[in-house]
Amino acid sequence: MLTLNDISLDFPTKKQVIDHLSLALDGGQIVGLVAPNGTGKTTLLRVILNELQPKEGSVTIDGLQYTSQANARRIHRKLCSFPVQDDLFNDLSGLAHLRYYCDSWGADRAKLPALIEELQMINYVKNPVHTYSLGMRQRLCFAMVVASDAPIMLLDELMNGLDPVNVELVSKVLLRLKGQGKLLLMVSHLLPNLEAYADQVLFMQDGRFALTVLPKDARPQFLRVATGVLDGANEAKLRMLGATEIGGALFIDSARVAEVAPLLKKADGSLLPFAIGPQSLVDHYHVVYGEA
Amino acid sequence: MTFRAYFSLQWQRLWHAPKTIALTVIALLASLFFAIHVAPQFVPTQAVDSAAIQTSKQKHMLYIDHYKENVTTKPMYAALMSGPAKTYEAFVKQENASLQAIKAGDFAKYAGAQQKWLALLDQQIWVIGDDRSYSYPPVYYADGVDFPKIPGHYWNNETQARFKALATRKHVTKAEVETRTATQTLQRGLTSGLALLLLAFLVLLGNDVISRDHRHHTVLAAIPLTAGQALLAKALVLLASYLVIVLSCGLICFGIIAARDGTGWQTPLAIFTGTHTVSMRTSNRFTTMPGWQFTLEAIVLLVVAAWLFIRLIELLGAFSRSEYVALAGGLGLLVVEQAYCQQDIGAVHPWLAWLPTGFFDFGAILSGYQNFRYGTENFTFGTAFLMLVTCWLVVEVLLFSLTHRKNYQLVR
Repeated sequence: MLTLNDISLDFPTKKQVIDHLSLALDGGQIVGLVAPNGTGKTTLLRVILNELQPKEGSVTIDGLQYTSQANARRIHRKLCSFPVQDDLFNDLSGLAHLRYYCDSWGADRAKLPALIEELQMINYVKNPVHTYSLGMRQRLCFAMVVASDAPIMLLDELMNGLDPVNVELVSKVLLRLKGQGKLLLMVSHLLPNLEAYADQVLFMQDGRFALTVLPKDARPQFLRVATGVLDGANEAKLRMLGATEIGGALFIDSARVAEVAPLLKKADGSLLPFAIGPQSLVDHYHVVYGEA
Repeated sequence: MTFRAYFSLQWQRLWHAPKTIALTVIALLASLFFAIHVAPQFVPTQAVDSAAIQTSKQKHMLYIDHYKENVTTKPMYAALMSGPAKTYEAFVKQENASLQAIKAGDFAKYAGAQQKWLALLDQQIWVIGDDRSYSYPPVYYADGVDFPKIPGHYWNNETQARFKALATRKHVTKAEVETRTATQTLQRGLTSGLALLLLAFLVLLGNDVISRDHRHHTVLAAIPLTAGQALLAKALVLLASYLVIVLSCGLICFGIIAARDGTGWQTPLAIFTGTHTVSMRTSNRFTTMPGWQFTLEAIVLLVVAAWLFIRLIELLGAFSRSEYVALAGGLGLLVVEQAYCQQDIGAVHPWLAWLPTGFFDFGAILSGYQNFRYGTENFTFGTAFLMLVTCWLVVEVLLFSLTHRKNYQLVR
């Protein structure tokens, strides 16, 4: 569906923003794109949209490449990107925005009322956008992309400005879209949220994908103990056993739990607090990008 | 579907823009002000004025009476007076006819008598030349005219052509004689620069047609539409909006004047067919066309010129990404010809009559005044149409080359 073929991109002020990056993604999945600010996530989305042209490599979508204006139009029918809320037309209503995206991508207008209801926008969708709060605007931007019904959706910082209730609301819609076979490429800093519903999370570093995590697949289990819980000697022993410190916690392969258990035992026989499970995306983030 | 959605969005955006609303209100107020306040105050050069004709007649009669008194008493002196006396008798004949026609309310007859009177006047001034005791009405002239006879001769002939055509009609109103009907007012306005003003209005309305999208980049950039299609949709929105504003304001203005003085659909309007001014000695180069035809031709040229200017400001905007370049370029093209052709500035060469800039003032072209200014026959409805279409095709080729580059982005 979406293939990035050995893409490289330089800016005049910054070299190798994207460095020989390749990727092939099929529909029916949610793919997270994670990296600290200013490391090329949005740039990559702009390359996919052909707003920036790579120095090397190409973008292929359903066999089409950006070789002409006509091809660009054909490709753009297949993908829709999440607008920045400041770019909305303040004097127009939310409904006008939704209709515009729906019609532009040739989607079915009859589905709009259900979408408006699903995203709980009925009370304000007919009002001009300048009356909207930050969260309402963000929901509208998301609704616009959903209204397009495009097979590929590029969602940059989708969850920004949304309260937990709305995050949950939007997440449900994302899962529905995934179920419809759409490819959702999401740039997000809300890692726990991403972990909950992404099928694949790509960590970008130095213009490449430094790590790919598949949150839904079986992952190595680790025993996790927060640093400072153990006394100095036991913590040193744990490190000697191969524990690594990531983001204020010590991790050790859960297969070695029998060796670690004595260290966690308190004088009264009870155990110090610990957890067993896979490393979270936050943990991976700390591994890839280091401590803040 | 995408094209229609984009058209619809651009339409809504244009009509929500404060600039569009402000320009529409200004155009509406200006139309009302003109129709209600300015148009009724128009002072025609050849007003239906019994008192003025009476005064002129008395002046002539005084001379004729003086001549008659001297025929027997001072035959030598009277011989010297005989030429002017004969001329004055001819004037008086037409003045009497004019007065009788006014009294009878027969303005067709009045127009016929006045045409003959004007022909006599023109003969005294134009044919006799410097040895003359008459002059054209001062309103025929502009400040700083070096050859004052020529504009006077032009307007005299224009009025003659009009009166001659009116004289052949069964029913003529006073308003038609005094050029107060709606189509006559339209002709006067378009000849006096309204055409350029209408195009300048368009440039002001649409100069930011490209640049205003920059503020909405992420909403507009990735729509499934090529740059060429987006530009076409924008152009159609601008043309439709422009015509809605101009034609509705025009219709209001036209309606008010028509209710007061008549539409003038069938009223003959004088059109200069064009030639060098020297040839005007030998023949009257004016023809007439009914008001409806003039109005129709004006609307056709307005639409064609508007489309050309829309695509032109799109080209300037798409190339420079600046609304100021589009504004300066659009307005500059409109004023450059006017500035050059101001009398006493520069020389008028024959080839200048083929520059596209001379064809933008379509009002002056339709009335023939542009032919008079350039001393040519080039400027006709047909040549103006062809020139505007040719310019549009050139702009279209440039736009095509610009927007069909592989990675060209209209919004960025």
